[in-house]
Amino acid sequence: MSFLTLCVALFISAPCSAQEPSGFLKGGELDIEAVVKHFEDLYRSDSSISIVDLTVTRPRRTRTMTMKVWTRGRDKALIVIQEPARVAGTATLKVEANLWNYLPRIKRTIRIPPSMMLASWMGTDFTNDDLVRESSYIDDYAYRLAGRSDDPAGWMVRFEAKPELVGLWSRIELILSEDGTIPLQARYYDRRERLSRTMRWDEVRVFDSRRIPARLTLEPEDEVGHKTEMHYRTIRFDVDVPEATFSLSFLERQR
Amino acid sequence: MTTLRIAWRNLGRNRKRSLLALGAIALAQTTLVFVNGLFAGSYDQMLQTITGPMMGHVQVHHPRWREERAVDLYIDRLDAVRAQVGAMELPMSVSPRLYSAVLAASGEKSEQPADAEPAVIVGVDVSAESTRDGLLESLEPQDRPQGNKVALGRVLANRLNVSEGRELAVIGQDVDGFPASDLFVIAAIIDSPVDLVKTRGVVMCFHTAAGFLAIRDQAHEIVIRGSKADQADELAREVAALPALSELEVLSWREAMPEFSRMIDMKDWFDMIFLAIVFVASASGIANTSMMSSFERTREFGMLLAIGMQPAGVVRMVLAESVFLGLMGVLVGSLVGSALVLLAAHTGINYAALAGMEAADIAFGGISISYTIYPRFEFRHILFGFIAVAITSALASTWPATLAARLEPAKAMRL
Repeated sequence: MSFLTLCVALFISAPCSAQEPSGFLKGGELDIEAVVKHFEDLYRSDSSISIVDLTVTRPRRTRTMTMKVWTRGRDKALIVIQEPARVAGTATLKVEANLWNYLPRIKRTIRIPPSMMLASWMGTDFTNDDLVRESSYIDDYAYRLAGRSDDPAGWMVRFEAKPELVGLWSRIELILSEDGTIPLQARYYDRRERLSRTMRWDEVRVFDSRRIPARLTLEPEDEVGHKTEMHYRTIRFDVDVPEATFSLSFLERQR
Repeated sequence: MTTLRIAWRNLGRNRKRSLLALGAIALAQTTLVFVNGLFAGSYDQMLQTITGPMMGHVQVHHPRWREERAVDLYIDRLDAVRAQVGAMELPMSVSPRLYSAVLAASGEKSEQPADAEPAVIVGVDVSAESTRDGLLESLEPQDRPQGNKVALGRVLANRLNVSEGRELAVIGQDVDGFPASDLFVIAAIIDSPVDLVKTRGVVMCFHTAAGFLAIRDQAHEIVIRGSKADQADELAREVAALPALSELEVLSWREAMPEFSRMIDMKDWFDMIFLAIVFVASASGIANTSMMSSFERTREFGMLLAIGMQPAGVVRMVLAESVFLGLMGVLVGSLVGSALVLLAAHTGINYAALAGMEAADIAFGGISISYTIYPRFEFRHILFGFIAVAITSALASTWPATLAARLEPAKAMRL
């Protein structure tokens, strides 16, 4: 799965691992298969509606926007900015690998072409690609338990991109809590084996009977003072989200 | 006078040989004048773009702007800064600019949403940039940006498949990082030698850009044009000394684009290399001709010495032959070379067409360099050629002339 599942988790969803696992320790070692499966499905469900505060930190300023996010299936998502009022209604629609932005001020929808996928999504540290990518940790990476991690303390799972995978990352180091149920940190290495960005999860809370981190923080390595933080206010899993939510006409009626 | 007349006649004794030597020198001089004219033309174009629409002579920025180009790295209290620069004694124009990376798409209503392309808002002082060497120099008054009317770079317009009179949707972020969007009308599509403007530019009036970015009394760049490009360093020093600019970065075009500055300085070396070729061609042509004709005329020199000609007279005669030959060659070469330069300066030389390509320009270091070059005639190239040939022909014939002068008349006449 893409890293997206971790952060913009809502946007791609898959069959949910509904039951809360009690931990994946087997004789002092983690059950790697179960851990990775749990991690991949952590925020996923058939459908979801959530409210997220998105805070983008830049060297000289910080801004926060509140977004409402609908997801359905693995590849449909709608994100609508609700606050601040002056940008309310600005929306992003994702259907499979397509991405559209709707700007209420000018009442226009613009398609983000494939050539723009590595550009920033709405000025955050996420790329458009993070939103549309549908790769899977289980399918696209070879993974193994790499032992203990000291900082932060927990288990480390190392994902190596399979040779045929076309993507930005060659390796991802994921650090999980002692019981393997909560991700703590992921370090993304690019094709030149340089640490490119770090994701952190914290503020574990129970949403809709699921225990998950409420805050995700993404920090790119090469840009000092840049940070994007997602803070879930609410998430409802497996709610009824009509198919029509993910259409261009609905996108333009949002406000 | 007699020596000169004899020398002139001697050149006519073996016309083929003289013509060959003359031809070699003429060809070298033609090459010198033409190639150096080409260099002068293409460097002029580069310098004109840099010190004209691209940078002006001096630029002012926030100290970290060039590194990050972040929208909030602006020059604050623009009015105060502008007033101080404008009050300087030197004649100049002061033009602030704003830049912001955005997405642009056709703003026409359609069934299928239009594809976005990366673009850059360039907010400019329209009246300052519409003068000679300004970014909007090529536009007719009615096509200039004004209000929500913008000028769009040609390459961007092609990518977006839009034309004049159509609507353009622009989305980006304001200075606080919040989504910003607006609709504009495309007033003109411009071919700018500034690559950024041509490939991604959405050029709009300064206040429109400031409104889009939600900033006031600020600019990302101030472009200052003085009277002469080569006085830019001096102008930069004077501007930097102004109190309102004490915390800003002030750079002359040479400091801002050192690679181009060095390239332009290198032109003088290219001129010298071609001059050296002329030297070598004339030296070998003349040395050969002079040597051959001197050896052939050993008896004749003996005779001249025997009837009372001074050895110095023989030297003068041989030298005069060579210098005559050289100067005639250089004269012919200069005439042909100048004619070629003047002709090409009129028509332009399209490199791309010569190479069978259809491209009109090539981008290099942010400048769109046209494949069509208009050579520039420089009198100094002719002067250099004349001096070089006069010196080399005299030097090259010194040896045969000395040999001839040292002949013993009795021995020489028996040969």
